[in-house]
Order: sequence, then C-alpha cells, then structure tokens
Amino acid sequence: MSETPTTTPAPALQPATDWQRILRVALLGSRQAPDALPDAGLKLPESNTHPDYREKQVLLTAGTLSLIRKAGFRPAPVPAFASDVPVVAPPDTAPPLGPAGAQLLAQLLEGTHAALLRGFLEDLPRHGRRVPHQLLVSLLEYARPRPDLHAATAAVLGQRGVWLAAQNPAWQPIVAGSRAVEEAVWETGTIRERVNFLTHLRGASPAQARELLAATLPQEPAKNQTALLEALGTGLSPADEALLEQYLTSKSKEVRQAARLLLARVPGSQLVERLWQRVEPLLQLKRGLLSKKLLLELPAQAWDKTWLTDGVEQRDTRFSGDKAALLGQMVALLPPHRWSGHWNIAPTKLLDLAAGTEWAALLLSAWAEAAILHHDAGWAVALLEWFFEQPRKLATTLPAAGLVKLLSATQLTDLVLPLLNATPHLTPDVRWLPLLLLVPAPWPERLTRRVVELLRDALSRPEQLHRIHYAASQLLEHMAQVVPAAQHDLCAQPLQPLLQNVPYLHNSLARLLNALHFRQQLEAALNEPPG
Amino acid sequence: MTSWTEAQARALITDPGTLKRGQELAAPAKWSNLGQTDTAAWGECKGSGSTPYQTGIDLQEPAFKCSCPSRVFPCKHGAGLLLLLARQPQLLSSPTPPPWLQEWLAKRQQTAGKQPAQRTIQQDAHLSGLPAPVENNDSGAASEAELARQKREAQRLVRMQRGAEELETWLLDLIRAGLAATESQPPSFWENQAARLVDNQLPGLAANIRELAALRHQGTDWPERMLARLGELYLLVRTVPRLEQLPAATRQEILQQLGVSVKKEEVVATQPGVADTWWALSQTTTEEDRLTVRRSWLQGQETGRFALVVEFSFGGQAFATPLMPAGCYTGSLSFYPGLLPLRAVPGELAFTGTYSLAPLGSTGPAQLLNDYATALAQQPWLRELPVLLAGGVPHQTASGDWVLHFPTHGYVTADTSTTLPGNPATPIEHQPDREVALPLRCDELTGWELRALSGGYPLTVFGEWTGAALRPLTCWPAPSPVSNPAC
Repeated sequence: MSETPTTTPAPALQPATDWQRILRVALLGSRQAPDALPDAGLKLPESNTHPDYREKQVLLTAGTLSLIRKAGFRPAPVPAFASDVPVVAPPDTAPPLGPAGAQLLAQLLEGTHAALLRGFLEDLPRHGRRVPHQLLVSLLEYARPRPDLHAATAAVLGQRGVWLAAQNPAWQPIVAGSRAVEEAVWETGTIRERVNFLTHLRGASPAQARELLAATLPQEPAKNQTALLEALGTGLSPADEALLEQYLTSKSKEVRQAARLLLARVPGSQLVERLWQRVEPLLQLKRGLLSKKLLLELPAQAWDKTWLTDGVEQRDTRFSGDKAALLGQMVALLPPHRWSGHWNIAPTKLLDLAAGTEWAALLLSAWAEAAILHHDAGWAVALLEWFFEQPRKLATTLPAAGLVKLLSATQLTDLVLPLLNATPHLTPDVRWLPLLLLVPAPWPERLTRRVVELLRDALSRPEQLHRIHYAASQLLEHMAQVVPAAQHDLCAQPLQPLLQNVPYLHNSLARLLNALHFRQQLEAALNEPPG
Repeated sequence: MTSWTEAQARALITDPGTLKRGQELAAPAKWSNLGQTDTAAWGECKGSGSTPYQTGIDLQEPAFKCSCPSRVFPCKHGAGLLLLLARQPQLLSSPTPPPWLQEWLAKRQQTAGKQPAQRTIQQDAHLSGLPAPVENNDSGAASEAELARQKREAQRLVRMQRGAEELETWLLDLIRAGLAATESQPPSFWENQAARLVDNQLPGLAANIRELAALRHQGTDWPERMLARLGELYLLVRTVPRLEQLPAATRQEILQQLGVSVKKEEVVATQPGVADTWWALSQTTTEEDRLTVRRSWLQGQETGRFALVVEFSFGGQAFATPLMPAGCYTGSLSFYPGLLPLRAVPGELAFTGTYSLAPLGSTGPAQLLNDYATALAQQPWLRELPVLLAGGVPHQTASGDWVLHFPTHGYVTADTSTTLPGNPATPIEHQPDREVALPLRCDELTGWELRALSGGYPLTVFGEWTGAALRPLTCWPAPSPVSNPAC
C-alpha cells in the first residue's frame, strides 16, 4: 500500500482546485486535454516515460483526491429554513389512537376495506382521538388526491399534523380546504375548482354568487355554462328565475337542460305554471259512479320554437313518438304531487289508473323522473311499492336507484320487508333483489335478520348453489358494505358454520364476515387506551 | 408470552406476494380451531378444498408448517396466521394444541439434536457455491486434498491477476478517451467488461463496473461521481499484483473487495466470537429478480460495536436467521476479517424481547466526521459507516433536499429565533457547539416521515454515512417534547 495517499504529507495540496483540474482532464480525455496535472504529492513507481504514465496519474490522483474529499467533508453552511411555521409543533392535546387502532388505520391506508376509511376518520374527532404521528405522512399522502377526504383528514391530524401539513404545499389544500377559498380561483382555477368556489359562495351569499355568475356566463363555453349553472342548485329562489330563463333557449342542449331542471324546482316557478297550462287539459280524470278513469290525449299542435321557452325539446329519447315525447317531458318536469293534489287522489291509486291506459309506461317513467327531480319521498314510496308489489307487465323499468335515495333506511325497510315475506326465497330473478341491493347503510336489525334467514335457507341447499351463485354473491358483497358492525353476531352465528360447505360462495361469505369483524375492531379502537 | 408486532411478523414473510395473500387471510372468518401457547400457534384455514388446511407455527424458531401444497415458507396460510397473531392475539383462544401440531412439534424436537451439523453443511454448500467439504481423517488424503487446494488457489490468483491487468488497460483507455465519451457508449461497453471480470473470478470488481454504468442516470454531477469511483477502483486494481506482499488483514480486506467469498463457517472457525446483547437497529430488504437480500444492522449494547448481517433468500425461502426489527438478542457474532470489520456472521442468537426506546451510545456530527475520516484511513474503500446520531432535527431546504440540522445548544425552544448560518471556513472540531446541517440521502416521503416524528424536536437517527450524506434507516423521537427544557 505504498500508494495509500492519506499518509503521504502533501504540503501544496489544494483538494478543491486540484479536483476541478483533474475532472476537466478526465472529462475531455487525457489525450485531448494537454493541461498539466496536479500530482497530489504522489509518486508513481513507473518511470515518467511510460506510455500510460499520464492516464495512470489521472486515475491515481482522482482516487486520492476522492478519499481526501470524503475524509475532509465539511457540511455546507446551514441553509435558512422557512420561518412562517413555528420551529416546533405545538403539543398535541387529544390522545392518539392506541396500537391496535394505529394498526387498523395503517391497513385502511394500504387499501384493506378502503371504503371504511372515511367513516373511521369521521368517528375519530367524535371520540376525541387523533392520528398517531407515525401515520401522518401516509394519511396526508392518501388524502392528497382525494378531495372528498380532505375535511375528514384535517379534523384528525392533531397539532402535529396541522403543523406538518402547513409546511408541504402539496398538503396545504387539505388543511386549507375548509377555510375561505381564495378569490383567485374564480379567475384562474379549473372548472371544478370554480364550481366549488361558486357553490361555497352560494351557500354564504346567494345573491352575490348569482351576480358573479350572471356577469361571467355569457363569455363561457357551453360546457362550463352547464357546470356553473348547476351551482345555483344550492339555495334556489325566485330571484334566480330571470337569469335561468335566459338560458332556456340557449344554443346548447346541455345548457337548456340544466336551466329547465333548475327552473322547475324554483319555488312558485313560472315555468311550472306555463307547463301546467299546456298539459292540464290533456289529462282528465273521469269520475263515474263506481269507478274512476284516467283519460289522456296527446298535444294537438306540433312542436315549434315557442315550446322551447317552456322547457320542452322537439325530441326526447326517453319517450318514443314525437307527440308522446312532448307530453312525457312536461309530466317529467312538473311536481308529481301537483296531480295527486289536483284530483285529490292517492299516488298509488293514480298509478293504478295510469296502468289502465295505453300510456302507462310513459306516465310511470315520467312521474318517476319528476319524483326524483322534486325530491318527493311520498311519490317515491308509492312508485316503488306499486312497481315491486306484483309483477307488472310494463315495457319500462323504474329509475329505482334515484328513487331509493329519497328514502331513509327505515322507510326502505318498511318497503322491502313485506316484499321479502311475500316471496321468501332467494332465486336469481326474485323481484325484491334489485331493491334490496339498493338499501343503503346502516341496515336495521330486522332487515338483516330476515335476509340472513333467507340466506341460510338458500345456502343450506348445496344442489341449488350453482343457480343462485351470482345473486347470492352480489347480496353478500352488498351486505359487507351496509350491515353495521353491531350485527356481526347476527350474521356470523347462522352463516359461519356454512362456510365449509358452500363452494363458489365461501370467498364472498368470508368477505362479509371479515368486513363486519373489521368494523367491530374499528369501533373498539375508538375507545382503546393510547399506547 | 411474547407479543408480536406487525413489523416483526412482516420481517418473517420474505415473499411480497405471500405477504399480500397473507394479508387477505389475516381475518378470522376462514379460520377455525385457532389457538396458541407460549411456543406455538395454530389454526385451520378454509381453502378451496373440502378439508381445511392445518397451519402451525413453532414460535421459538420461528418455523412454519402447513398442510397446503405450497412450497413457499411461510405459505399464505402461515403468513395469515402470523399476522393474525400479531394483530389480534385474543382470537387465538384455545390453549390446547391439537394432535397434529403436537406430533409435528415432537418431530422437530427429535431432529433438533441432529440439525445444527446438517444445517452448517447445507449453508456452506449454498453460500459458497462449492460442494461441501469432506471430512477426512486420513492424513495422506488430507495432504493430497491440501495440495489440490493450493493448486486451485494458485490458479485462481493467476486468473485474478490477469483480470486485474485487463481492467487496468480498460480504465486507462477510458481516461484517455474521456468520461464524456462514455455517454455515447452502448450498455454492452460496461457489461462486456463486467462479464470478463466475472470470468476472471473478480465479481466484486464486476459489480463496481455495473454500478458505474448506472451512474450517469443519477444526476447531473455524474462525471464527478464517476471519476471518484474510477479513481478508487484504480487504487484497488493496483493492489492485485502485490497481493501476496500485503499484511494479512489488508489482503483479506482486498480479497473481499475483489469478490472472493469467505465461507461463513470459515469466519466462525477462524474469528473470535464477540458476545454481547445485540439490538437490531434497522432492517432493509431489496429485491433482485427472485433473490431477496436483507441487510440487518445490529449494535452490541456492551461493546457498542456495529455489525452488518447480510442474508439472501431465493424464491421465497426463509432467511437463515429470524432477525426482526427492534429485536434484542444475546449471543455472539463473528466478524469477517479485514481492515475495518463490520460485516458479521451470527452464531446462536437467543431472542430476548424487543426494545422501544432509542439505543444509547449516540454521537454528534463532529464525532461522526472524525470517525469517518479515521475509518477511511483504516479502510480506504469504505462505502458507508453506520452511525447513531442524536440531536438532529430534520428539515427540508428551499431546494427540496433534506438535511439533519443540529442546533447550537441542545433543544430548540419555541421562542428561539432562527440562528445565523455558521462560518463554513471554521473547522468544526474547534467549535463542537456550532450548528451544523448534514445532508440526508432519502426520498421525499421519508424526509416528511422524519419531520412528522420529530415535530421540530431533535431525533436520534440510525443510518449510514456515505461520505457526503446520511442515509437514514431508523429513527426514535425524543421521549416526549418538553416545553421548557433545561439546557
């Protein structure tokens, strides 16, 4: 090791400049760069007439200087750090999740039962808990591209997490989201940001939002107009009518659609009155001595431009036939209770009468659309009940998903349970199944109990399994989302013993039981002592 | 009963695919007859067949058994059971092992007596790629074998020297043409040379060349880093013709650098064991094709010595030792011979529990830089030095890099205003109290993790100092932030 340089005294050594010189030669190539070489105090054993002497010298000097530079490493001056956040995080006041809770949260953030994350985050502040420090980065990174999680995330970060997020521009929107949205967004933001801004403003100051919108809309492309107009849905009032009426005759079909759906919902809407004038003479309820009869005519005059100002398009793919489309559109825009009120008749009765006409399908789907548009829960119940109660030979399906959203879980249970009891077998084409798959969380206990009974019966007949395989797995997967954790035993006691004996279905069944068990653990974690 | 943490359970599952499938099974629905004792855990898991799989873990080893046909250890059922044990031990409620488990445990105990000898031989064959040495009491045959061995070694040395000579010529040509010219070279330029080195039994140098090829994609300062590496490599190459004249420790060091593998049991046989209580400070696992490499840093609590245990696993097989992060072990390690022994072979290590507080015996930045310079003087090819650093606060600089900032005096209090940057011209040794910022080599999120754990208060960080930056591997926050600390 005679070449070991660190022991060789080198009085004239200048590591920094020597290194730059040697780097230049090495980069260009020793043949191309005739520069004199620093010798770093080294003596080669070879004679300096050796043909490779210069190359050897470059490499040896480079190796030596590299070691010197590493051994003599001196940290760069301490840079200035951002001073707008406190040097240290304020102490946390809320206790963190305990070890099991932290473990569960880590699993959620890894994607296990990811659908449960939001609910769990929302539960934390209610129990005075926060996310432990070691999971803050994972949570913030998870929430960053998911704006719907921002509010829930901001509430569980604790002092440490808020302090941390304030330092990273990528995380700032998570904590800033709930605060005032900056005005600049309105001028320069993406359409989604602008709609969010407008919706916020609309909530705080409806008139200001309307004025802002009125000033901007004419310059916007049709696509933006549609999105921005929809922000008026918050806090809709008669004051918005004038603005919306202008867009009933817009060149864009989407804009016209947005405007008329909003106008139909304005309290005391003039559009609704105009439509009523047009359609009321067409539908007549004829009362006989013993029975009533619904009579229906199509509009006498054909469509012209004046229809457009009343929110009716020339064609509508939802309804077949030119004139039928005009009628259908009008019924779909009018509040459905207007009819039941007008004739003083229950919606169910009216549906029965409608079923007797040749326009049954048209009326049913138009009323369903109208019930959804006007959030009419009474009509929604009536429509669903009437439709699912018995097999209806109608060439139409009901927009059940939209109607179901108007009902509470209790209302839906009251609707579904009688249907279950009337046909208590799980078969692939059983009528209540699509409706049951729409009943949202949390399922009431009486519903779960009944469904579990049906499932136990169905799964106990292995010879039938191949027939109901798809229907049953759909049902089990849905239940994994909506059955509350407290009903774990209600499901596990009858169903777990079947697990060994349900080929095709044991994975779905295991997923349901595991999901319920996981949710039980999440609930327990809320009261777990911090580590 | 020792409780298992998630991280420890994961450390035992070598195959990432198995870990993923095990996660799905770490829930109770498919399990029945779950139970545990102090030394074992078991359960029956519903699979696609009609009878459930019987899965057991011998927790002393730990070792896995499962009646499923998988040949990976642990299989997904074993992995699931282990994760379940870590997450929800209360579910493993039965205290009585079933007959099939008792049978297996009894069999294991029977073979345990014979096992160590067998295992050493297997490991030897596995690690050196050579057939197991044949024990021979016949002295004549032994000397014959010895002669043959010497002949083989002499042949190998000749080949190595030829390989080193070729590499020197290649390096000189490279410098003659200039580093800039390498940018237009195809990958085969590097790969051919690396392959020749492998042929000449210099795999350590071949690995060096392959790293050089990757350098130019790692930032604009690649010429500088490549020149440094080439220079260091050249220093190494020049030692080869003179290997036999060097002192024994230097020779052994250089042979390891060149890639001559030292057999594990040779290390154990020739090097004294260092007995201590060893704490596993960090564990990192990397994947290359089907080969999993695990690097565990240990520290002796009596001796303060650092030890690196490198283990390999092929195709999901278990690692040779059951080392776990944050585990404490008593027993002895044998260090590979060399100028600065860091890499070690574990002897019989007994697991004694886990630790949660930061290990003691940490140093500061000035001490680290001194230690590193001293270590380089001992072993000029040293890549990274392990260090336990206390008192640093992680910060992100305006350019997005992470540094570990050591404030002037102990703890920073909330009312301390930012101090002025120090004078870079002053040597640090003369001002041990001066504030310093050491660069961290870590990705963005790791930096934020450190920051989150610190809360702006100093951390104890274990990591590898590479000569210009610290690669953080583990950190421990101060016990609890004190609002009014005594300086």
